[in-house]
Amino acid sequence: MKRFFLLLFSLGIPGPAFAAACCGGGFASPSLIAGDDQAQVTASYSYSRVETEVGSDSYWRRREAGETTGTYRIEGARIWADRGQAGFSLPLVQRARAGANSFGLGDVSGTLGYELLPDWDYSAWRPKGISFLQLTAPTGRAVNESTALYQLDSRGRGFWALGAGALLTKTTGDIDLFTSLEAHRSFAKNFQNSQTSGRLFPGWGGNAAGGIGYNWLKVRVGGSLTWTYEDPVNVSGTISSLGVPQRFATAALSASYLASNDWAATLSYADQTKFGSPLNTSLGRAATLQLQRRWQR
Amino acid sequence: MKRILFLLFALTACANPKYASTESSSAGETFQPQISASFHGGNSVGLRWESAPTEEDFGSFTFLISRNGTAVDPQALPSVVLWMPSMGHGSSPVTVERLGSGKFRATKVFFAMKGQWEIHIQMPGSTEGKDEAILPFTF
Repeated sequence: MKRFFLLLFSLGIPGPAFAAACCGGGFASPSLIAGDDQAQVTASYSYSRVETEVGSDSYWRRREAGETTGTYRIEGARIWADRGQAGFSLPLVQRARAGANSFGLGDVSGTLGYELLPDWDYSAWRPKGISFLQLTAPTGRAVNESTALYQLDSRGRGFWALGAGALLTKTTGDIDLFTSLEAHRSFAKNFQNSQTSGRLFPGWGGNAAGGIGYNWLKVRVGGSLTWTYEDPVNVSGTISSLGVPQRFATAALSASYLASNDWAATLSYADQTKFGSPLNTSLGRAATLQLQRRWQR
Repeated sequence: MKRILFLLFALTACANPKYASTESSSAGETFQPQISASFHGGNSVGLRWESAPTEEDFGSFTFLISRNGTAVDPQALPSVVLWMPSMGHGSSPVTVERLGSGKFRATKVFFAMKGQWEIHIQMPGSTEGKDEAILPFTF
């Protein structure tokens, strides 16, 4: 039964955070195996819509014209050497606004994980802990490099980034809990478009998340809250400017169904307009359908 | 314990949106600058909106470059760049045409997202913003 809950539970960990539409997407959550499986592959489709933009003056400005993002994502992870694991995330992003659209690769990432706190004896109080390193490649193109109308061809943050963090999980009775903390450093790069050129200087960023779930028969329902922060992006070049930090909180509700020990599906809804004190960002709402195949140890 | 409870409360508190006014600049029949700024080199520029941009449509404005009340007419066209400093990015390219001595029209003016923008008007030949005027604009 415990294992059954673990299988359901690992579905409740939030997927990649979606973020400012101007930037195509947020820093990807790591692809990790949180349960007791040998390997897993997850395919998902997420549809999000920008609702509001919050300026550097902290005023909210409602968006009247629709701007949507559809993200197809394949993620995989595999255990190696008992406590180690490696994973990847490959997003394909389609952005649309006012009849125009752009489709292409988002920022891809690779993850190395290590089970720092194993839960071999199913301790009543000690959580299971997985630490991880994550490398993100700028395959999604920074908004500064955009050449398309509405900047729709920016499908990621567009910076090389190296992150590290930890995920703690605990199942007790029908309830499961998780918390995760991640920090990353994005690296400077040169940029050029038809109007401007120069060098971009991003900085540190991070995510902190917590969540809870209730498991009943083959179903898990859960909620989570993720806070995201990014340092300002300063620019030196044709135009020079000092940026403003970006922050927002994403609340998510999810329902998962475990069809068998090998297959599971999750439907989730995320909203960035409900919590926190957002600054310098776009806020949206998203629905995600996720299908997961697992291979047991 | 009180501090922990306060921190938990602060972190999970509901968002409290402050919506900005939706009023925007209107078009004008004659050239009366609505906003103005100075170039680093001593010239000044006045800007007047002809049509304000929307979330889906381009806008246009005219601008007059002068020094001590006399129009300054550069041989080449000045360039106009829309810039959002808080995010560190621009918007789609603006087209500039000459209307008369020192007077120009900028069309295809579009702001990719709402918020506080800067309109950078750069004198021809200026590099890395050495001779430019910066006009603030809230979209």
